[in-house]
Amino acid sequence: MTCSPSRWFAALAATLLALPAWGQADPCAAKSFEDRLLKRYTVDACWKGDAALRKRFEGVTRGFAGKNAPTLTWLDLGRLQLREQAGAVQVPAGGARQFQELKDRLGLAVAQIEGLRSLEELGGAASAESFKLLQINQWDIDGRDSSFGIRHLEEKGCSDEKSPDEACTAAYATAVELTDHVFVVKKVLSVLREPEAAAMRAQFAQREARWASYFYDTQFPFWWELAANRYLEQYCGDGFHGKVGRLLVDEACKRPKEDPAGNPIEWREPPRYRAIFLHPDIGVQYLREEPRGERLKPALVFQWAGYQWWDWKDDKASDVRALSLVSTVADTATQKRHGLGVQVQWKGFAVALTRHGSELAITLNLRLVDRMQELDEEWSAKLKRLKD
Amino acid sequence: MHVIFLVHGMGSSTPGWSKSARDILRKHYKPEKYAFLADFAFDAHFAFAEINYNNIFDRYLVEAGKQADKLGRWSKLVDPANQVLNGLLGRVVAAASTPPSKGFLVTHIADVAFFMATDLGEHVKSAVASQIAARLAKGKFDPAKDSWSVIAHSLGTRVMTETLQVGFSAAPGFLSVGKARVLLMAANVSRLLQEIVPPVFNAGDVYRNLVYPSNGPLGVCRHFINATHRLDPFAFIKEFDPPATFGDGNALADGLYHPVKLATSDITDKDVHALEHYLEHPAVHSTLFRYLLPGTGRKQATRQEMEQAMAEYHQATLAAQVTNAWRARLQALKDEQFQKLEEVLGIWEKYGDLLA
Repeated sequence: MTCSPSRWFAALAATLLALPAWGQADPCAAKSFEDRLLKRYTVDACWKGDAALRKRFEGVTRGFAGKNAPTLTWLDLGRLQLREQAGAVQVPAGGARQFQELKDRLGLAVAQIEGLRSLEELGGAASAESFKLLQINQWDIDGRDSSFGIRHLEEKGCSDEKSPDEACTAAYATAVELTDHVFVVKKVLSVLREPEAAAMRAQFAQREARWASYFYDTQFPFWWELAANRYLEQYCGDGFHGKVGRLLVDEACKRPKEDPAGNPIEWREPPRYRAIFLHPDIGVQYLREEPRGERLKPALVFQWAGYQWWDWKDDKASDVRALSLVSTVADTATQKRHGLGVQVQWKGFAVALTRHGSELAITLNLRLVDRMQELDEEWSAKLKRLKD
Repeated sequence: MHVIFLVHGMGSSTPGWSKSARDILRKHYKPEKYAFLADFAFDAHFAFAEINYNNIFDRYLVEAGKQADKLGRWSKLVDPANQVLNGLLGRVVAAASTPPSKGFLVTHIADVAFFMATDLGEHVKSAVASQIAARLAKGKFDPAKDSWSVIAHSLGTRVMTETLQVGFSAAPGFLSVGKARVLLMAANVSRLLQEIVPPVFNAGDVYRNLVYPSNGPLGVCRHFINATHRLDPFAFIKEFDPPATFGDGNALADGLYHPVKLATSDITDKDVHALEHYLEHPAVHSTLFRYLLPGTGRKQATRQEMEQAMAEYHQATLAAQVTNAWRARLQALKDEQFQKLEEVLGIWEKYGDLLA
């Protein structure tokens, strides 16, 4: 085999790059064996610097995406990975007792994953106790029950700052071997939970977007309406609010489940309907029986009570509809100033029909008036174009 | 990497609000000051993530202001002598057409009321949960080797209590990225708000929920630090002071709950309630550093180091721009009645006046 100068220089450069820079402190160095052990797993440069550990750690991710991936479920792949890690722990004769403890703990973890019927079963606090050893933090390298390496150092009296002697150097090597196993098992359990973590992010983002839409893509709720609706949602059950929900959107409001102390254990989802309560607004009223020039008047539209409801479309409230009992008040010249009736809303446009004595008034909300004005301008422009 | 989330309290917080708190932590995280930090350089191990939710209250108040403005202008076109506008209808119109003020009560107390008694609280929790989940996403965070912790302040303590309670109970949830390492609650109002909120807005029980430290599979964190200043009028009214049965009943016995109570004389700034005021205190930041670091929490500041740090701190208290008369007025707040909601609000308003 020939060795060209360029290859020789490339090899030299690679070697130099792999060495710590002159004068630069070793990022993995520490004053005590315990800190050195902890840094090994918390500083990327340290665990990645050990080629064997890096291969095992990164091999977990590859294992989940490997040749078995298309035919097996994520849980099946997790089982394979965990069994493999359990098999990798060798208990040396006369060696540290922590190896046997680790082996036993891993055996229990494997038994738990074998008993798991689906990944969904693993989620939430309710199942955390049943599948205790499949929880990520049960494999913290410094956890109470999983810090085999740290415990080994303590047992050998090698945790604290001291000049490294042969016994402690050997104890450190054993601690590393033990903790490497724990580190990789934690990786298996972390990858196992990735689908749930992705679902969590998507669900959280959607919930946030829907709550924002709940406030700002529907009729704006005044603060007393917010409080009233919170109360109604809290105590909906089979009461009036629940029945209205079933009628309007085919689903009743749902009080999130609670633990025995009354703490919620579910998120409150943004509802698809909301009560309207003492909601004032402004509109333009038309009353035909008023004298000419007095027929159109600004009016106060006061929704006493009602409901609005909508559909969720791409996390936005769409097709918002509402029905409410209203009063309208205007400075009428000859007719009753106050009228009582109903208002219907659709996509932010509202029309109220109210009776003022024997007369019927029509009141449009400003958004509808604006829209009609726009349409009027559009029609004028069209007519003008036709004329031209 | 260890991600530390910072969660603000009530009042007008804007993005970037946490800079002063971050600066204080960096300032005190010095191996020269506390030798046990020597092996873990701050920037190599920790990254901050700021949580913001005040924009949700702000947006609502801005929108309420617009509605009030619109209603105020148009209702002037209706004759005020109009008899129909008397009574309930008139009062509601007046309330709706009054823009929210920018006083202490609205910027601070309204946040609390909105959070506890309306669905704006749900919006806040979902936004906070979403921000945390986004920062702990694959590619940015690996639960196998990275950790996360939370420093929450004032209303933020209640926000985090509720967010973590549901976030760890429900699936999919935070258990998929592992528990927090440390939960530091400064001026914890979670118990207070549970007590003063009318029972119709069920506030649960913060001593018997999932937000506790544990070595087991349940709980939300490994260590729970609770910092209370004796003169902080948001913290002393109904202090978060859990009984032995807290959480799963082992949190206190296992030494995972760490209360830090600051003396009345320890004042370096008028705003004793401020997060910065808490973090400046050696008892708070050294406890935080102790449990943030990997390991069993065995290593900590030595007695000499703490004495030195406290001596420096007490020098700073002497330099504080606080007169004895002012101290006496702050101290006097403790002697007020605070059994009823209106009494509590009264104390907070007086505290706001003291800061003005």
